[in-house]
Amino acid sequence: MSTEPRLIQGNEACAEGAIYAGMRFYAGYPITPSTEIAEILARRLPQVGGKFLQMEDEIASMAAIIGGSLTGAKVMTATSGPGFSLKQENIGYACMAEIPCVIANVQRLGPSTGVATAPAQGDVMQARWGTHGDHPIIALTPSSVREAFELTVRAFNLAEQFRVPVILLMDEVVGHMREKVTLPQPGEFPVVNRVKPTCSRENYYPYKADGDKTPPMACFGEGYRYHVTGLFHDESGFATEKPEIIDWQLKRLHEKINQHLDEIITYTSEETEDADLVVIAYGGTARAVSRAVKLARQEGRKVGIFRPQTIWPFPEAAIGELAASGKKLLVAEMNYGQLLLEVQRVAAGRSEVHSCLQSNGELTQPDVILTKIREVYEHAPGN
Amino acid sequence: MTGSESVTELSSVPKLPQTKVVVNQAWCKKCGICIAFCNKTVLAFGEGNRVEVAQPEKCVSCGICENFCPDYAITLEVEEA
Amino acid sequence: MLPEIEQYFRLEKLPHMWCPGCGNGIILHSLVKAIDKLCLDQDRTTMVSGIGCAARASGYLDFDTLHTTHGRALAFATGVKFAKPELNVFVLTGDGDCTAIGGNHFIHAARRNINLTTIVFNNNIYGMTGGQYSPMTPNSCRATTSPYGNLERPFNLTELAIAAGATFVARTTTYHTKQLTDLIIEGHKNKGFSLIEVITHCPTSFGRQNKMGTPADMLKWQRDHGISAMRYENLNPEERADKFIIGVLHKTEAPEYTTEYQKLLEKLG
Repeated sequence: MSTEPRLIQGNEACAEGAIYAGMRFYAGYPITPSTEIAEILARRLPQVGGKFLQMEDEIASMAAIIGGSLTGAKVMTATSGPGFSLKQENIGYACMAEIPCVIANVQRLGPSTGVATAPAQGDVMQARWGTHGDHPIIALTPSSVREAFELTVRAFNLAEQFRVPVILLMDEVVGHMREKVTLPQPGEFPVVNRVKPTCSRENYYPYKADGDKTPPMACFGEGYRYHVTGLFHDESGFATEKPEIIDWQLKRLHEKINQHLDEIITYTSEETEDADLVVIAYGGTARAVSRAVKLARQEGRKVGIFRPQTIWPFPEAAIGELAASGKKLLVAEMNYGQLLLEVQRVAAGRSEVHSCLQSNGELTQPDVILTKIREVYEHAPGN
Repeated sequence: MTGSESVTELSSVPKLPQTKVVVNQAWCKKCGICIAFCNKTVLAFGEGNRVEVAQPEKCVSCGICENFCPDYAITLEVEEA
Repeated sequence: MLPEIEQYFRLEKLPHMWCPGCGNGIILHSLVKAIDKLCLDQDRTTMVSGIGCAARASGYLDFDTLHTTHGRALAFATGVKFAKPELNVFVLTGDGDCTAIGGNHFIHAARRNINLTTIVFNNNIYGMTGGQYSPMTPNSCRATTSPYGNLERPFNLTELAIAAGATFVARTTTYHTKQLTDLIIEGHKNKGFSLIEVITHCPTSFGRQNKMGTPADMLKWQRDHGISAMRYENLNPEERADKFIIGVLHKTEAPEYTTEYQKLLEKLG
């Protein structure tokens, strides 16, 4: 890989990050604003011995990557809102059957077809609750081109480590924005591979997990001859309707994530130490917030920014700390208030929670955020 | 080809091995397919619609019952000579 | 069960969950006989199924088995086969699973001519959900959602497969068990997308609602209505009306998708 800086798009960084992480199987369906990921991988994957497949629809793409993953490949698909909706059933399948895979969702304005080329962050709750049933989910959200690369690698690492689908929740701003980046050299970032069983076929229970709650995963074609289903199943992988086994399985699916929150959750926080007001923002919006915070500081207002990179599981402990310190919180996002609900829940009245919401197809401008910062900052607590 | 050449000598036909029809009652769902298709009425419903090998001596080991049984409940076991 | 085919079943999972007299068990029997004759490596053979009665088949077979989501068996199977072309991949799917909710995947798998052996268990009805009409329920037949008789027309699945580009297309019934085994063998040997439509019987839902008699009566119906192309040719239109052709209906050669992709990899590599 070149050590020269390159001017590339977020979508291209995502594609390169995937290859860096060892992804060698992509199946997708073209949809704006994610299409460049497919186009780049259609060219790049065969060059590195990988497989690229354009499926007949979004649902099939999700199904195909699960099939590919079962043979041992690191797999991904990319989509946007309408396609993300269609993929949900099979994302649920991947959660249930514990199949590592990465789904990049380059968010556009919705609902429905919305505006194909306009940025939005309206899929935050869909990423969390899009499928039916209860299960945890991991979703990462980058704010820059460089971070699109890094978080894509991370998405694969987490998917492989925990045998889960991981959602890379980009937005149109980050996907289409171009920045100068030097892509990391091999070895610069860790690359995680799933744990395979070492036992014999007779002793292999595909859903029997040790303390970390994630079971080793055998590849199809390697002689383990096991069964995979979206039905509730016992350790052997076969369907069951016994309440005590359903309970065991569902708890384990939650625990395998919840026991590792410290490893999974990452965020950045700038100038929050002395801040009276902390703006919480992510993705493209966080860029405008950075600018607004800088301007607010120049005006003498003590404002900081907290930017979750892991949006799910929600960085509850970190935001809880901010709330407990009594700092005012301001959530800026391109939707009608989705992460806001989580911040309000965690703050639980311990600090004021304000919002700067916009969902009109345009990136929120720094001056809009600055105006809101001033307004919130001047307000007496409780007003 | 003469007429006599086209006739198969009966003695040249390999004899089917002597078999015994065994019904696995644990798997049998009493659908009656085996009974309906047995040309030799070897099988019959017994008490509680249990499939019985009623007339084993009539069996010609054709294998239809084993072949059609949707539940793999019938096996033609080759009997020891 | 013949001892030589026991190895292909997960015996501890038997007896299976299908209703008394259901034809699905007969199809599995013919399938494992075909696999035995083909001498396929059990460790390198995958069974993929969707949702429904037929789709439960995968769980009874001792291979890598993948029981997927509603209608998506072919899409999952495409992923398995494309990622690891050296695996033998069979798709076990029902008429509702394959032709309604999975219809799009069916035509596109055929169009790609990807090397999958697809066996459609056609019992003309949604069995698992209690007997609603499917795209393969004949016109005027009764189902719980067509209580006055089905107003829709069924697909001709084999014609659909041919039009979509499948390179091996065959049809038979659960009565014609030896032919079924032979067709699965031939279908598997075809380097491309193979469809074997099996007319099977659902005595509980389709049979009962349409007064088809006992499971044995339904098998006899198959025997009397499924005929060879040669016999069909000699019938007048009136006699043909309630008959259907069984056997190989279409066989051709076309580039197979995973092979073509392999060539691309070699060219670039």
